[in-house]
Amino acid sequence: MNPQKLLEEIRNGNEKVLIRFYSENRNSFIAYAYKKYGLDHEILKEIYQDAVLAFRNNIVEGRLTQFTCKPKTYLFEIGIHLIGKEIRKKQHEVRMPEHLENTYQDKDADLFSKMEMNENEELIRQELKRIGEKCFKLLYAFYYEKKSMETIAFELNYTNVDSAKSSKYNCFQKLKEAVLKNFSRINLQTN
Amino acid sequence: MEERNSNIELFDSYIRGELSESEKESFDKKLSEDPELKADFEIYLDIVKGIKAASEDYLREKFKEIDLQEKTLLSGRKLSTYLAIAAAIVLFVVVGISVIIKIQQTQKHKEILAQEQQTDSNLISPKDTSESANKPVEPQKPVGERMKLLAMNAYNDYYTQYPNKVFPKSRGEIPVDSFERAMYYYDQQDYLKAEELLKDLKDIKEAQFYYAMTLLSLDKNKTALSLLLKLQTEPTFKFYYPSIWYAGMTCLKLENIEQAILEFQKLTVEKNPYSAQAESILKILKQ
Repeated sequence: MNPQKLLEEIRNGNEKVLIRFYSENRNSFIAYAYKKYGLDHEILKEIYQDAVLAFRNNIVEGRLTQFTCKPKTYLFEIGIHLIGKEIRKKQHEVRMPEHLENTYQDKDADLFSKMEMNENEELIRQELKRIGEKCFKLLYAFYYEKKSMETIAFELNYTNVDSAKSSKYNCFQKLKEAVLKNFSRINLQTN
Repeated sequence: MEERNSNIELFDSYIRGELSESEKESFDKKLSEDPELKADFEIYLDIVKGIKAASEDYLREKFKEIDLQEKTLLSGRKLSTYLAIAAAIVLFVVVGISVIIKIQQTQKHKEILAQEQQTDSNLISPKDTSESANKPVEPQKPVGERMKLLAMNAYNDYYTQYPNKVFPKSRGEIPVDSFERAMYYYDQQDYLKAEELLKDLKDIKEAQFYYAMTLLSLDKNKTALSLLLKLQTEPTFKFYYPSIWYAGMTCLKLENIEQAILEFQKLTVEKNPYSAQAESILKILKQ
């Protein structure tokens, strides 16, 4: 698949294309990173997953609109950056490799950074499991894949756009109630 | 609820960048002025953040699934490779053993041939009596093996197909009568057709004799022998002596030397067309 087509497919939320891209480059990334940095395979696997997610997010969030190098090279650069972060995190005494320090500036670090975990996030994760698959798919398509309500209504077999919107609102409200309940609990505890 | 719903839609449009510049400015202004709206928006952002985190979890699960599938596939391929290697090793061993056995057999066969040639030179063969005793005598093989060799030689030297003595050779049409037709095929050396016809002619003793001859030609020796032994019970039977003679020959072929000697001895008791040949064979077998 040519780079622009890959970009379009991922931007449009084509999960299969993303998974294929993940699968095609996994072994070469892990082999390369293992040889160069000697990190544990399991850690490299997680870093690689983070790299693919960052790659995907940059496309869907509109930060990456066209490739200036091969998609694989771009992915590897993200992965190497994340390895640098991992090395800094785990071994404070080890300095970041010079070429990595020079390659990425602070704005790039923001570009590739993962979301911070907090209590609400964990609560929402749990709540999403509880409210069911249909709700999750609806919210996933709208907030993560950034699809329009028209597309979602069609893909998820809603009778019309209004019906899909109404369902989205209800699902969102359930999450909000859970967050507010948790917020009250925290306030009660602190008071 | 309507207001809250519209708030969510407004928030959605804001974070998706779907508001016009003026709408965006208006929203930013409201946020700075309305603490309730700001609190609501912060909760909204937390939820969206949570949805995104859960979505990434979902994708990670998908990645793990594909990792597992490929690992399983790879294990299957590795297993197939190992099985193929194991099969190749087994094949190699089997072929190797076969080759070794074949070499040993060839070696043995050569030894047998060499011994056969030696035996030929020692025996007084009815087909070749000129070469006899002047060749050097090699060490003898064990008795059992040597006896088998002698029996085999005797059989090869003395065995001839018994001729058709019941019907004149038919040169024209195939005869209608079963026995006659069977003998026609017997003469034509079409033993399968002859066998087919003769086996049913159980009431005709002569037919049964030729049935035994046919079986010998088809290498069905044990059945032939059993039939020939049955045919020896009546000395008045036309093929009485031939039945004994061919029983002896069959025993030689089956390497049943003791039985062969008994059969040939029967032929030496009184004068008959086979006496002289039987005595010669007995002489060979008793060496």
